[in-house]
Amino acid sequence: MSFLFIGCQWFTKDSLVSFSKAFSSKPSVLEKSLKRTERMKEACGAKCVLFLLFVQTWLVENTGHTSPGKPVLLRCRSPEKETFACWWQPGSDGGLSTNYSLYYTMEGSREDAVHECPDYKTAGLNSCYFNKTYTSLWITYTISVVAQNALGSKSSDPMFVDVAYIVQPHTPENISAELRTQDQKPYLMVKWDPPHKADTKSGWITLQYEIRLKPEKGAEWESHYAGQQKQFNVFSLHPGEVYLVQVRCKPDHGFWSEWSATTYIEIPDYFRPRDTSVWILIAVLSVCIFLILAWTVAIKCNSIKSYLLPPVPGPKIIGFDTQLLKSGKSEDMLNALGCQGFPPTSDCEDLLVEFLEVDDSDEQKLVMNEGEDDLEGRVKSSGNEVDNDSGRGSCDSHTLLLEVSNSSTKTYAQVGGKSNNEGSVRLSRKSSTNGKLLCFETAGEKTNTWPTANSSFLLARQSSCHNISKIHREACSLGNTTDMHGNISSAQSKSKEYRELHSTVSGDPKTWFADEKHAPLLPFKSAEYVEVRKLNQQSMLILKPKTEGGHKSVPPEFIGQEYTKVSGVISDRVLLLLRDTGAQGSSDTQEGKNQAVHPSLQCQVGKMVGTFPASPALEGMQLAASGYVDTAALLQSF
Amino acid sequence: SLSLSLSLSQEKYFLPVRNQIGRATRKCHTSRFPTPNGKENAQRTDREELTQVILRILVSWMDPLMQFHQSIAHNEELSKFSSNRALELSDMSYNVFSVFQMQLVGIISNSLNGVFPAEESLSSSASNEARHMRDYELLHCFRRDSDKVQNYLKILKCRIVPEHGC
Repeated sequence: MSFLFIGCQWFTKDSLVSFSKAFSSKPSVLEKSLKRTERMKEACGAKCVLFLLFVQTWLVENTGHTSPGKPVLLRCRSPEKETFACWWQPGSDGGLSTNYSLYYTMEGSREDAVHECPDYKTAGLNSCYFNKTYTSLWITYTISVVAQNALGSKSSDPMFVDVAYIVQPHTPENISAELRTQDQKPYLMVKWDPPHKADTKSGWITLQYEIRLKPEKGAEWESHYAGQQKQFNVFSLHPGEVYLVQVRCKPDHGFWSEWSATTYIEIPDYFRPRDTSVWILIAVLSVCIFLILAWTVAIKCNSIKSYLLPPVPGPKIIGFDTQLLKSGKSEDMLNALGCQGFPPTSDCEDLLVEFLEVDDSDEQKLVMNEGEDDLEGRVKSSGNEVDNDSGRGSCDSHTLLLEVSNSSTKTYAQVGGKSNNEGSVRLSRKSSTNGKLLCFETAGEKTNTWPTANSSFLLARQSSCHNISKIHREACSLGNTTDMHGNISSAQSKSKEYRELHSTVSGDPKTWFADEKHAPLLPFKSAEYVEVRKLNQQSMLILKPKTEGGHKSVPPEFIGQEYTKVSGVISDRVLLLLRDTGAQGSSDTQEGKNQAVHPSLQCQVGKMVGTFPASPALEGMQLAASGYVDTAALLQSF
Repeated sequence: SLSLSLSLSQEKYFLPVRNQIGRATRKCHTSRFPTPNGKENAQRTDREELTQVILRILVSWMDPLMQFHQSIAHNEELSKFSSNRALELSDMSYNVFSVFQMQLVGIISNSLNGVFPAEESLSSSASNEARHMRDYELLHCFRRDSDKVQNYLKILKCRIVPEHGC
């Protein structure tokens, strides 16, 4: 009773507190709340009084004996659809010993056929157990419990039971969890058996299963509906953890069973395939990067090398042009080097360099071109002559080799025809003191350094320096294709202004002979060149025609446009050069020859002049010549 | 056997579950003829007899269902008060069950090589009785009988073909 009183007061107090809290936030409602609480307080107080009164009467009744209270049927359950049991909740016993009895009626039987519970014990206290004989399916049972004591009895509310719909089986049995791997992925295979009492074999009961699992440290269960099968595969696993597994079942029309006992299974901590794939991916990427780097290095190998290891600059010779060397024109290269006549031959030691002066005298009109005035000029070998050939030295093929051994005596060899319009270049020869050697530079075709463009009358394919002493030697350095005359260098060194061809021209015209025997010097234009075969000590210039048989009177045929034929030697000093394109130089007359001089002769003369340091007059002539004058012939090779 | 298994699988869908345990003041019209009420009884019954029981139940429900469906459809008052769900259920159950019933009756009668002669009388009387039943009672009986038939079919299936799911 005291409890009741306290409870009532607590109730009122709590309600007051809650209400005040609810309305405390609104000051406008505060007044209302206050009024309300007062009213509630009053009402609650009245209720409390009434309640207390009722409780008192109840207690008075109970202290005596009263009829039993009304029992309550809790539930009826069938574990296997063959038997069932019911449980009730007894009411108050009224202070007296009260027994409970269960009565039931079945549908289909007569209404007054009331049966009592056959078994009160099997199912426990306050229970009634119906075995197989008393169980009929698809029939509605009307069950009620009656509590009875000395003073009275009370029956409970009836419960309508159809056994087919109150089935709640036992938990599944023999639960086994097995760890398996599929494609290196672990999964859990859980197996179980139905409860042993449920007859699923004959099809009497059809059970559905449900499985749930969670990690040991997890918070929530993960449920999976398994249907009617007795095994299930779980794939959502975390390695390295302990899992709890439970199973339960349910019939078609019934209730779920309790969860089975927990089965523990540990998932071993293994190397996840995901990590393996990640490592494989990393390896592949690294290999690709490495290949790209290697390829880049291979491509840029040279640049990297030059960057990391800067090349040591090689020795560089000033004036040395490797390109020239590669082009095979040793002449040019050596000219670039400032080398004249390199390498010098032994024969060149005794060279008598004479200046060969090509003089364009008035008498002789050099027909360089049509209507060109006579150009006077002495073609002197001048070193000032500039050879259009790039800065070569005296190693110029087209220039007659001039070497000044002794500048004291110079022999000018005037090349030229006597006064004819056709132009002949009179080659004046200066005789040197020792008249040693006449070196002519040949159009060094063979040497490839000699510009073929340069042509000179006296161009010989091969520069041959002949010792005067050896002048009678036929053997010449004709075959010496690669001779570079040291005269060149010497001449170059000495003669700056003049290019002089020191030549000894033999006064004997006969001495001038064309060596027919010798093969053309040049593989090409062989007929065009006059080769200086020998240099007579008697200042004899022996010129060898290229193709035509060497005959003094026979001028070498001049085929090419660049070279003139030596028609003859007029005097000791005059070397007639004839260019006869077609005409045979048979006529030995100078004049004829002179006449036969082709206008181009002049050009050639000019050219030849060019080989020598040309006189200004001749230069002019050369310049005046059209087409034939090769300004390159104005080589300042010396 | 195959037909039985097929029919059994279909049968699970033909009736929605109604968990209400209604108070049946009247007996169902199908309780006239005995049917096995327990496991032993059912297992004791041979296949042919069990099949006949199934057939009888199905046949006895054909007319009442049709009448019930018609009454539900035309009953405006019922449509007002009843929930759409009940209407849907009845409609669906009727449609499905009737179709299934036809098939099952045909299958079973073919397997039995005959048609029950007492069927017609039964059905007519049963339909008369069913007409007097209230709707909820009718539905209750219908649900129970359908479960019964399903259980019988399962028993037959597991007896004939025990490999699959028994």
